[in-house]
Amino acid sequence: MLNWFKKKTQSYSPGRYSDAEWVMLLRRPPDEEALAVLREILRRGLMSALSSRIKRDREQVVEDFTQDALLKILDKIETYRGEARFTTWAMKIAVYEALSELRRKHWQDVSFDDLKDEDGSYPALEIFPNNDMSPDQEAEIHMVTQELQHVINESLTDKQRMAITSVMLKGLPIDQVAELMETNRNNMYKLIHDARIKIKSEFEKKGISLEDFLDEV
Amino acid sequence: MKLNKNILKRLIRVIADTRSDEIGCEQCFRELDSFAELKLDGKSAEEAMPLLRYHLDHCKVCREEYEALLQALKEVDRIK
Repeated sequence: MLNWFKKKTQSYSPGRYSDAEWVMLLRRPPDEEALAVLREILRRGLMSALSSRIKRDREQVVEDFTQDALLKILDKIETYRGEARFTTWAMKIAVYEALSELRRKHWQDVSFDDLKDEDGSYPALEIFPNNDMSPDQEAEIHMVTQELQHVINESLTDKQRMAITSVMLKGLPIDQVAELMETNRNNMYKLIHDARIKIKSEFEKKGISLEDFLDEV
Repeated sequence: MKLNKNILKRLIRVIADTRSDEIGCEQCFRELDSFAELKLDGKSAEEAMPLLRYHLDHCKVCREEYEALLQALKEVDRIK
């Protein structure tokens, strides 16, 4: 009786199985009990992590995300390398899939046309007037803004310009911009990274110290 | 597009901080579970994995996933 009670109350603890046991039990065909325990662990984790991001039908949405995550985890079971606990690794996948889907739904109506001005050009950069700046600071800011604009327009490739404008200036999520540009998130990060390196290099060539600018303004 | 002084400064900070050895989102994803565990175990994740910390500081989407993962793991830790 006591053992049954202990088993019941310990049912959904991540420590229920060792990492090796998790992998063994979840290889196809997966053990039903292990699957149920993992499902509950994921569901609770996702409910906590996503509750502020889901406005309606929270329970059902989290159930759906949990189910999708389970399928993904089972598919990837042989890629688990033991660098973190199994349940941590599984939760990572669950969170990644759920947030990716939430972002996709939130941004699904955005197109690159939304990022451009009516004439089809990328928006010019302007600084809001700021009354608490000295004339020297204003001049410094104006100069850096102009230079940044110049470098973005003249020194970057079209793809780099699109990526920098979308992600760094407009604040769109990198994975959604990647989808619009028919690439993946990792490639998008590299594209933006290359663009940042180029921008930094152009400022250095012109003898403009970005650190001095940041200190002075 | 209109920038205020603070947005411009943030942009310029990101550009000034650019490093040649930055890791991408794929590597960040691979290592995120280890990083999160170090953090939750009270160890210095930033010292152990500085490039991952740097990536999280500069990639909003990866940072969001990391923060959600921490939240999820904290909840799961409560399951006895």
